[in-house]
Amino acid sequence: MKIVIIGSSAASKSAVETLQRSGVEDIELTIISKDKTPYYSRVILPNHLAGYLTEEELIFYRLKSTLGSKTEMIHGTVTSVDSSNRKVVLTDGRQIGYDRLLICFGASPSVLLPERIPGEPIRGVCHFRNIEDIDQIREFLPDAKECVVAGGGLIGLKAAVALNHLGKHVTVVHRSSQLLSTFMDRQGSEMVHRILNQQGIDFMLCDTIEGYETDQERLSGVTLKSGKNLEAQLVVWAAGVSPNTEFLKSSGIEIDKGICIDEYMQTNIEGIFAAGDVTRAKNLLTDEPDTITLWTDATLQGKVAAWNVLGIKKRYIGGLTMNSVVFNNVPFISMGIIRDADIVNDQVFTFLDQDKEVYRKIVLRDNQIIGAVFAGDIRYAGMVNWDLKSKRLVKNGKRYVSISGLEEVFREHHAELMSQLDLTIDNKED
Amino acid sequence: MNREKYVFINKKLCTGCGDCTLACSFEKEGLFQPVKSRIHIVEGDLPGFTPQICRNCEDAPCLDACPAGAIVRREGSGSIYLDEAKCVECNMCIMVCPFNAISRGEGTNLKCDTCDGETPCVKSCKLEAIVLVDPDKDSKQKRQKMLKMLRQE
Repeated sequence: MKIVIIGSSAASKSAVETLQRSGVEDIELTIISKDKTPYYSRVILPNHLAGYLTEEELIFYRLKSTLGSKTEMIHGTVTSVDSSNRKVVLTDGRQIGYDRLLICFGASPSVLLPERIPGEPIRGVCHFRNIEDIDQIREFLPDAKECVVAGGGLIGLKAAVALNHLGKHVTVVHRSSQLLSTFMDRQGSEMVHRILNQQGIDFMLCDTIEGYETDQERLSGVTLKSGKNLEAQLVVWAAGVSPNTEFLKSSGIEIDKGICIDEYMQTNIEGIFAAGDVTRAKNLLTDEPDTITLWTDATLQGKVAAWNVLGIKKRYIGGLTMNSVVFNNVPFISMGIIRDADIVNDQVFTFLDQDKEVYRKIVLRDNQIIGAVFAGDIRYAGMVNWDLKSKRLVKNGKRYVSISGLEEVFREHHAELMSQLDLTIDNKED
Repeated sequence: MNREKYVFINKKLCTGCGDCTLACSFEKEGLFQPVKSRIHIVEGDLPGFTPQICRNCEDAPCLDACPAGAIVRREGSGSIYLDEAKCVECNMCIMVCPFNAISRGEGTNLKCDTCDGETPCVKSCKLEAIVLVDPDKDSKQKRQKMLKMLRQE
C-alpha cells in the first residue's frame, strides 16, 4: 500500500511510528516535508531563541526505515491534492500518487504581518511559529533594546521570557484583562503575572497594537489602541494560529476552519485522512467540533489516523485542552474546563498556599472531573488527567486538591486496577 | 548487560520499608534522598503500600506527550526511556502519566531507566518484591492471565 503523509511534525511522527510498529508489511511510505529540518519541535522553540538549544537539538524524531516497508522523505511543498486521480502535486510540478493520504500540514499564525508598502514588510516585526521566525528575530536582536510581544498566551509569554533572558526589556501587549486567558483561571494567571513581573517583564492588558512607527525601513515603535506609544525595535507576534488548508481549496475536501474529519480521522473523501493542528475534530468535553492545536492531541490524532489508514478501525475519543508550562521554576498545568467564565453551576474545589506558591483546583460536573489546575506542585496531575478522560465518578472532590487526598485516590485506583486485572507477576527470574 | 529487562514491583510483597528509594537515589544522584528516587512509595489508610514506578506502557502517554524527543521507546525491550540530556522540563509527561511515575528533578525530569539491568533497587529489596522482568515473558504471562480471565467470564 502506498501511503503519503504531508507534514513532518507531531502528528506525522506518531503516524509514522504507528505504521512502522503495526506489523503490517508492504507499506510504501512517503513523507512530504516543507521544512529544511524535518521533525523539529515547535514547542521548544523558545528554548532555541534563549540559546539553550541548538537547531540540531530541536529535532525530536529521526526517520528510520523498518523491515518490510519502504520509507522515503521528499522535500517540497504541496500545492494541490488531486483526489480523483489520487495524487498530490508539488510546487516544482512533481506528482506523487497514493493509495491513502494523510494530511498533517499543521497551522500558521492567523495574524498577517504589517507591510510598510505593499510587498515590503516592516523590518523588526516577526512571527513566533517556525524555525525561520527565530532566525528572523535573531537578525533584529542586536539592535533591539525594547521588545514588544503581541499576545499574552502561552507562546507569547514563553517568547517574552526568552527575550528577557537575552537581556532585553519586554512589554507584553494582551487583548484580554487576564494573561493566559485560555490556559489558566484568574488565580493561576495572577501567579504567572506576578512571577513574570518580578523578572522585569511589563504588561499592557486589555490593549492591542494598532499602528507601527518606522525609522527608515526599521521599526522604531508601536501605537496601542489605548493611545499609548511604546518604543520598540522588535515586535514578536504570538496570537493564535489557523489551520493550513489553502492548498486544499480545489481538492473537494470539506473544510470549516480546519479539515473536517469523522471519528476515524477520515475526511469526506475516502482514502484521505487528516490529523493534528490542521483538523477540526471533536472536543472531548463539549462534543463540539474544535480546533485544538496541541502537541498531545496531534500525536493522538496521528496515531488514530494511522490505524485507520491501514484499515484497522480505531475511534478518536476527542481532544482535550491541556497544557504545561514552567515560569521561574514554578510549574503550571491546566486541563479541561477551568476558566472562571465557563464554570456555571459546577462544583469547584480549590487549595491555595500563597507563601509556597501552591495552587490546585478541581472542577466537577455531574460528579465527573471536567477541569483541573495545578500550580507549584504538579504531582498526580497525570492521574487526574486520566480520571478526567475516563470520566470516572468522583464522590469526594475535596480529596483531589490535597496531596494526602490525591495519594489516597491513587491507592484506591491501584487497588481497583489490581483487583480487576490481576496481572501481577509472582515469579522471579529463572 | 541486561538491557532487555525492566523493573517490576510486586505490590503484594511490598512492606513500604523504603530501602529501594534510598538505593535508587544513591545510585542516581549520589544522595540518600527518597525525593530524588525514581521509585516512590505511597502510604495511607488502606492496608498495604503502593509503590510508584514506570510501567513501561505499550501505549505510553508520556512518549506521545514529549515535545523534545527526550522520551523514546528502546529498541528490543520496548521499554520507555527518558533521555535526561534532552529533557527540557516542560512537564508534559507528568501531565499525562496516570501512574505518577515521573517526577521533577533539577535540570531534568526523573524516571526509572532500569539502570541498564544493574539495578540496586532489586538488590536492596529484602522481600524480593522488586524483580527484573523480561518483557517477552511478561507479556506472555499477561496474555495468558488475560485469556484465563476471559474464559472465566
